[in-house]
Amino acid sequence: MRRIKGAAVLAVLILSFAIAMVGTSAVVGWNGKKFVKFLRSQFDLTIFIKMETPDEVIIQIAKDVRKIEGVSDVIYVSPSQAARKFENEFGESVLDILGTNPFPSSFIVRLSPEFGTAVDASYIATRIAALNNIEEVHYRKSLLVSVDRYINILIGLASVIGGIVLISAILISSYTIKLTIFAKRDIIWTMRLVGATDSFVRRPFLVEGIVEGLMAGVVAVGFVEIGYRIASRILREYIPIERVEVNSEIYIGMLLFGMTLGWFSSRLSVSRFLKESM
Amino acid sequence: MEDWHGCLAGYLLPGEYIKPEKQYMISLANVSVMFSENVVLEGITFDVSKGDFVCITGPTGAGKSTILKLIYMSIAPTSGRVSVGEFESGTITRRQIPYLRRKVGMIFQDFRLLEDRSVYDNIAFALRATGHKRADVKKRTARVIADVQLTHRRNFLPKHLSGGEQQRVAIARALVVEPYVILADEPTGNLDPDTSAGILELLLKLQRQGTAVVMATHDYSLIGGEDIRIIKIEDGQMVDE
Repeated sequence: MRRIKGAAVLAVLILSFAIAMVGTSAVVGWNGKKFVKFLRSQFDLTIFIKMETPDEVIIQIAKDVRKIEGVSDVIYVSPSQAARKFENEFGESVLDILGTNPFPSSFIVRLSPEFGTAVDASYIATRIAALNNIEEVHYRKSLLVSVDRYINILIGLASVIGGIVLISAILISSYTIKLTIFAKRDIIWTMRLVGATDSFVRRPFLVEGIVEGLMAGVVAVGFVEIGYRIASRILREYIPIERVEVNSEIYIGMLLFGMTLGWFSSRLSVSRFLKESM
Repeated sequence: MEDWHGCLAGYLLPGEYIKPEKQYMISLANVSVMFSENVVLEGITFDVSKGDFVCITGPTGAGKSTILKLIYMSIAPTSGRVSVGEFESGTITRRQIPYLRRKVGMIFQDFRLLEDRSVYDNIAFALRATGHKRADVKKRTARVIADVQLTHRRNFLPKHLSGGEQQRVAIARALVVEPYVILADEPTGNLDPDTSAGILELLLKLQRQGTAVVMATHDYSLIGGEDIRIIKIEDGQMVDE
């Protein structure tokens, strides 16, 4: 009995490490995704309107641009606002230098984060450029391409690491639960001896697997929370750690993952054990 | 009427009867078992009917336990046919094996009791594991504990019982599901002669009540003088019946 309890405690602890690994990966992934979204939301396109374009045409252009899929916001910048911006940036008035305001009317177009890739931006820019009275559409294409490339590399890397972590978690938990089931081999043997069906033999182990998975999930949530607090204290001076979000959805996900992992591992191990014995 | 299955009233002349064919519970027909290249059993043929007491004897390693394993279908024959009630080795599916085992009670030399459960729970476990209702479990367990004369020790753990008592718990566990045959694999192997005689007496009592018993043993002295069918096995072959 003591052996069985010991095996169960060990299983919960090992499972909790596995779930904590997956949870930490989820926290990193979640915040990485948030950061990418933030980065993409910072990109905008600038549309320069041809000189002498009448106001009503400019208003129509704004309406047409707003209708394009992927455009989240369109901000009008008048020639005088552009001149003021120049003065703020360079400390001199463009009117004093040139005697006239050379800036055309323009729009700053913000894109939805999910349309913030180089391909989408290029597509949207092409559609805007096709409208009448557009002088030029400007955006930082090379920067977007670089960001996309790095993000793809990071996503690939994260997927591989996440996959390894997930497979390790399943293997570790399956092996651990197999040990707890092995500790109860006498009960399984007796059940089969007296004619219990496989599903009847399996049932208590599945319930136990789910309960152990849930308990391991709770312990893992504790690990991640404590780890986050310690990291916050140490890294506060170096990175804006307060922006790193560890939300309740991740914790709920960890609990559900723990239960699923416990159930799946138990099912796998008991089925294998049933095939091997008697 | 039980022995007159063939007699159909009105179709037979007075004084005439048709003797029924004997109904076998267990039948092994020309059974052979091979593990890899090794022949473990070869050409084994015998039948067991209701109320039979069959003793399979032979030296250690002769294949006695393998015959019992064939009967509770832990292994399948390499050739030949084993039938137990309505189940046949050639057609039985994995899902049907538990239902066969509910009809076949098994006891072993090392008792194989659950060490952390009382006598009562060890016996009741057989019923709980086969989905019996609580009231039924209580009634049947109490009755079978009384049959093996362990009522006063029902709350004891196996480690607090003698070897003979532990074997009686194992017999009770096999009996509680009301099997039609008891398979006993060296049931007295760990017991002293007096206790062994007591266990044999208990098995004979079950036989007299109509339960067939198939016992594998190498202890010839145990069965001397009893009205028991003896099947001798040597090197995997039947040498005498």
